[in-house]
Amino acid sequence: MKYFNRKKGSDRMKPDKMAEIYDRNKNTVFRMAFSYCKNKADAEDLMQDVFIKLFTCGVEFEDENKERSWLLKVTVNKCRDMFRSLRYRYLLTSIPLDEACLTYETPEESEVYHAVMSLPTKYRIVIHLYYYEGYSVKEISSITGTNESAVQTQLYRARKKLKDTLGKELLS
Amino acid sequence: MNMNDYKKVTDRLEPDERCRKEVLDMSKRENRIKQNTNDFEEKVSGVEVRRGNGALRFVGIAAAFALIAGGIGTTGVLLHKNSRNVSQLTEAGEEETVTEEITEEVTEEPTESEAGEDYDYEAIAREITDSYLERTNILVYGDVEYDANDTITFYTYDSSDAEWSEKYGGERTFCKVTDERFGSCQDIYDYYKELIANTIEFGGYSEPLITASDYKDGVTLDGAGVVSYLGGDASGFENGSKVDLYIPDPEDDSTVDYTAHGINGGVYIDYNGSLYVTPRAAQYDIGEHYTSEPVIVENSEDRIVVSRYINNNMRNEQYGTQKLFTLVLQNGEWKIQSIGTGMQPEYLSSIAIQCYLEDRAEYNDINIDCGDIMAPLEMLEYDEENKTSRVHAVLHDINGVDAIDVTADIDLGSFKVTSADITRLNEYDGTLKRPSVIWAEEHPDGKE
Repeated sequence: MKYFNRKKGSDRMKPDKMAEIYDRNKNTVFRMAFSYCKNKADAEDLMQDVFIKLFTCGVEFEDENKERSWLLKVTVNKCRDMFRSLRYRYLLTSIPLDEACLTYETPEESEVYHAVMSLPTKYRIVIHLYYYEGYSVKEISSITGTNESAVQTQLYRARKKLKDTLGKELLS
Repeated sequence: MNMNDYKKVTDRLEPDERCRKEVLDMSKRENRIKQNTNDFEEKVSGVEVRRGNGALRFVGIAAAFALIAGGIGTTGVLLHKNSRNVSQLTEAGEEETVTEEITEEVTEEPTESEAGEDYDYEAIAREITDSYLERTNILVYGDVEYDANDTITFYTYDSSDAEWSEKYGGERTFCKVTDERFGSCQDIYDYYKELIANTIEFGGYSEPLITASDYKDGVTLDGAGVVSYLGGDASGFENGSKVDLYIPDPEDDSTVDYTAHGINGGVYIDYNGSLYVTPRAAQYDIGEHYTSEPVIVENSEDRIVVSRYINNNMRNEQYGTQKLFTLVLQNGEWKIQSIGTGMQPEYLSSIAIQCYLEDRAEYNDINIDCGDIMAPLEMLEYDEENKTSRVHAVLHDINGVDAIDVTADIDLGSFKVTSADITRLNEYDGTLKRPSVIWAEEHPDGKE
């Protein structure tokens, strides 16, 4: 899927345009990154990398949906890169959830959120994109670079694990 | 209990407000640096880089000069164990060429006996960095002896693009190389490669690259394919003939005539069993030189990081660009594993001044192109450790007349002018405005 057209260097993005795009997408990118990294500092670093990449690579999108999809795709890729790095290689399964930036208004919120965040990374991504961002299996496939049947399998297994953890099926 | 609980918690997550400013500031700076680099390259080279994915491997030689080739050269400097004095550089032709097979196990750890040896790190740093420069100038700039009377000539054009052919195509003359060390493109690559470690690293690739035996697969330490410089065997083209650079499908590498592009932009070509070089390096005194002595910034038993400033002959800079050479011990020899770029005091100072003047309407008549600030820039003080500089320059208005005398203190880490003493040498003329100022006035919505 082609998301964008590349612009010439001389047509670099204007600051007001950058600000507009940042404001429109910052939460989407940050929340996706947080879902992956489980801590605010890394999620912010990743988010900054993603936007700087967008603002300096001279691309423009046909519409805001394509822009958002592209940003999420880059976010997922950058998250993967980060987790491939030495820093995380030995920490992957033991990264603690950064509770300091989370607030829960009910015990159920805490229970469900912790259950999701305790899922393996690949399951967290599809759960986040499917339930939070509202993407279809096909769209998630495009964003994550995983084929559709694999996404479906991951969703199925993620739901099953959540059910095992919480003791009952989660309603969407 | 349902998925809405996850959504509600996630909805409350937001990045800090400081991220916004950091993202926007950094993006603006990156864009400015990119724009300045492009502007500079265009001004210096006057040669267009050929289009098309495949052809991107070939950078016009003059454009390559402007890139301040982070290239790398080098040959085997054999720095033996126990040597207090650095051994002699091996002469190509005398020393057996080490042809390394590409294998899975190329990273060779130093043995205990090697790692514990006594090395003269300063001598190693000097010899290898000196050797690197020589080999870079040979590979990238064609700095070899040749016979100016023994030449072959081709005429390049693009049958699909008359404008390009008119502006950038034309005569490409090569002279026969008389340096006995080199009889082919492969020889140039082998000489260049001798000082490079089996695995090399550079930004942009997450895994180390294995240096290839064949020059056609070779890369320089900055990641460029050496085929940018080594055009290969052009014997199929008759001396004096026209060479078409047309690429039927720019997305398909197999449709690129690499030899044709090698003739157009390469530094060397093989022709009927002999090696030929473009004579531009000697004609225009193009190449690189050091502006500082080597300084060891890190060293352990099997790894040294050396800092040395390097400059392109085309730029009149006191410092130029700081190169950080990482040398590693490999089978008892020190080799270059990577070369990073550190400070660029003149360039970064110019960007800081450019940004400073751009934001002040009273200097709307000043020519603030980065190259036009760099050209007269005088470095009064430079503190590498604290990343600060004090510079002086007389800048022109857009008519080329001396207009302001600037002395500025600069924080090179943030590209910002921390204090400036500016004296006008002529009166501000409101009718003289930079094109970018006029454009911004006419397009207020797009004003930066």
